[in-house]
Amino acid sequence: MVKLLGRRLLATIPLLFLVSLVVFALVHALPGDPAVLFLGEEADPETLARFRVRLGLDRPLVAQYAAWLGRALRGDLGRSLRTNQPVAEAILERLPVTLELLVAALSVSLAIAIPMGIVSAVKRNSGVDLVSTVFALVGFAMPGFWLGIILIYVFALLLRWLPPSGWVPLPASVPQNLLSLVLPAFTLGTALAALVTRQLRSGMLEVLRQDYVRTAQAKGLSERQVVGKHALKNALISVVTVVGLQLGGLLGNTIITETLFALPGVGRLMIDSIFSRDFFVVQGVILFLAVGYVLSNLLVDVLYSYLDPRIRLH
Amino acid sequence: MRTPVMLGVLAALVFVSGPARTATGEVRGGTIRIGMDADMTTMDPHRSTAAVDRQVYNNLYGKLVDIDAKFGIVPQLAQSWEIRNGGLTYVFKLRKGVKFHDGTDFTAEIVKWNFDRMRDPALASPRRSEIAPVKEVRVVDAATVEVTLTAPFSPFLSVLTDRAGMMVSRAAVEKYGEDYARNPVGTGPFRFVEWVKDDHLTLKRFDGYWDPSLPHLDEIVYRPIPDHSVRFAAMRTGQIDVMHQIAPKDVAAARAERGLKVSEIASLWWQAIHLNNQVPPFNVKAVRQAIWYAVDRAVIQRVVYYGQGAPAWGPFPPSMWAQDREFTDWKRDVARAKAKLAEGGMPNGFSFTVKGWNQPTHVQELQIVQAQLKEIGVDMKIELLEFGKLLADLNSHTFVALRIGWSGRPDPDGNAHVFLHSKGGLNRVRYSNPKMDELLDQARAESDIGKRKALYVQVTRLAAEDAPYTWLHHDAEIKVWADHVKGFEHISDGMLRMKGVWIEQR
Repeated sequence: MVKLLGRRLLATIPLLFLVSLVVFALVHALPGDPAVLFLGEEADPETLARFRVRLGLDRPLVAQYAAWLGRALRGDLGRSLRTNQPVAEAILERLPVTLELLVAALSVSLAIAIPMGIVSAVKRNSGVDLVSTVFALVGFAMPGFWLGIILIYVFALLLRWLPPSGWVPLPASVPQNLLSLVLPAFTLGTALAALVTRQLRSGMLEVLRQDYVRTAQAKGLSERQVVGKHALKNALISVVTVVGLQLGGLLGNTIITETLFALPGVGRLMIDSIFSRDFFVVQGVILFLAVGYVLSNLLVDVLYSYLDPRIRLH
Repeated sequence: MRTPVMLGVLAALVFVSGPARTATGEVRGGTIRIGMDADMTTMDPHRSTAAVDRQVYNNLYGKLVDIDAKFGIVPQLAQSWEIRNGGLTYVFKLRKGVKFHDGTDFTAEIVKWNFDRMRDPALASPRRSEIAPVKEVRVVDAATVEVTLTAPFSPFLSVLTDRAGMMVSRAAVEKYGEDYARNPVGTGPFRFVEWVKDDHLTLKRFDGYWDPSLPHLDEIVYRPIPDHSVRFAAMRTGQIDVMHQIAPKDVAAARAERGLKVSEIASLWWQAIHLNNQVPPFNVKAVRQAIWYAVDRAVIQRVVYYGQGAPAWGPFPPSMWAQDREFTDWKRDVARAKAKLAEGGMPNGFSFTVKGWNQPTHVQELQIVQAQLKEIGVDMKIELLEFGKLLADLNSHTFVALRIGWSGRPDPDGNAHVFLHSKGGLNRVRYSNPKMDELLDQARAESDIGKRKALYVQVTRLAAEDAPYTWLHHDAEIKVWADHVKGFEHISDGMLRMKGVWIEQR
């Protein structure tokens, strides 16, 4: 196990190096002059030139990249061009919001998908199955921002049960923190719930057809034991795969969810800094998210070997 | 029995600390929450380029002078001023006893230092071009400053009503250096408390404000909520008390909502399609005029803006004294547009691409123009871009046509000179007419408003004749606030000046 982990961690190093290169290239390939965005349309050419020199934007790209990478390796991701805040500090400040949102969305989607997937597989072609199929189709097809606006309309404006926007930090008030998370978590988690429901349903159906399930049933085990103990664990492998693959998408969708609900998370930091060409912030956030993605995939692999011992042997 | 005594003490405390009412009915205390369309970018007014920053600055910083609802210049940190030498010299008498939030004194030395800071090339301040006419700033005595200009420049005071007139604490800048952007210190009615990016920015009442009767509020909390619908939902559910920027489609609903007030006045904005005067087909005047007559500005106002704002036929909005209200040669005339096409050598029309910002009202506006141009045989293709890219293309003249707006300045010079003068800093369409240059320069040097107005009427008519821009619309300046918010004075620059605002107890 330790060996596996060590090997996987080593393999991420060249990957992250590649990511850093791509991120840097992409950010600098963005059209739009940061100097103009910072100094305004009326700035004279001399002022613009001085600004570029101050930021080192006049140097060759290779030199800029080397300088940035060198500092990044020492944990210094640079500073925001606008507020002079260290990028790492800005990310860490916002990380709790995004992490909480991700955990909440993941919990919401699994809490919906696991019971729904099991029931619709066990009671195949029943009314429940139909409902879950419709939920899965609609849930997956509906764009997140649209679902979010509808949820706000219904639960914040019509019923007035939940706040339409904003963030209350966990230490400030636990209940209010949870209330401010409900709508964003459903907005972000529904599409994943839909996908996992379908995946679990087909996974369960396949497992339920297997001989060992029939054997378990034949030796008189209760339906609950057969489904819960024997079938589910095997069907969960496909769920873990899907969730693992979707984590990147979920991270990407936090940008939309955080912007819609005005949450001060990492996604919003990224989109704002892209629009204002706050280069070091964009680079820092993307690099950080890439590391997060690689690590979460590593976690998925560890989970695999727990669920399926054969994977450990290979 | 100690309880009744305690209760008595408590009651007395409540009585004493209860809301204090002034003679005119204002109540001291309370927090106001303002929903903004975007987060602030920096708290340093000498480095800011985002309109949203100014909302906070107007409460955090004192400035030399301010404008009133009629665009009159009113005293703020400068108690009075004198204009000498035919408009070349401005002598400001400063208010005495003014303190910065950090306790340092506001003096003539500090004013000079602020001007020097803005003019220092090393700071690369966006203010530098705004105060370019300043030649020298001299301290006469502790409360008198003399500013000398290179040439008479009548918009000068009006420039000082915005960020260029805002005075920052020298001690704070020297203490924080680059981090001043997050640790601002001004002389305004409210002082800075904290800024959690993308979540909230908090200001608290400054007890040492030079007018001890102000402000009424204890606290202002700015909350950036970028989505229009969500911001409006926050307003309707009472999460915020004041809403900055409402989508045109939501205004009717806001008016109908109980407990909300909507105020609509003319803004300083204009929206226009910039036509590149140096490249075909718009290097031909008649072709530009064809576009001018082919668009129906009234339809745009009705459909895109739900009847808000006003059609635009020049750079001066209805809020400005410079607007030529007699001018009518902007109404749609398809026959004339077709004749102009023929005159320009394109009787069968042509095809071109307009670049625009990927934002709902802008897209709708372009789609309407597209349909209207089709009627004269002109095929306009729309290319939608992200704002940074649009700005880059504008500045590098990489466009045939490009749709963008201007937030406007209180003095008409700021809405026209930079765009229409051949040497204007924002004349990206490269329009050049010596007669226009002359009119604009004269209007800038003239101090008599009647004479200036006559010059700006000529500017408007010449700009319509040459048609370097197809002006489309002047936005409305709309604010929405809750009924319990009192004392807000709505001015065309759209700034939320909160020092006179108070909250009615419910």
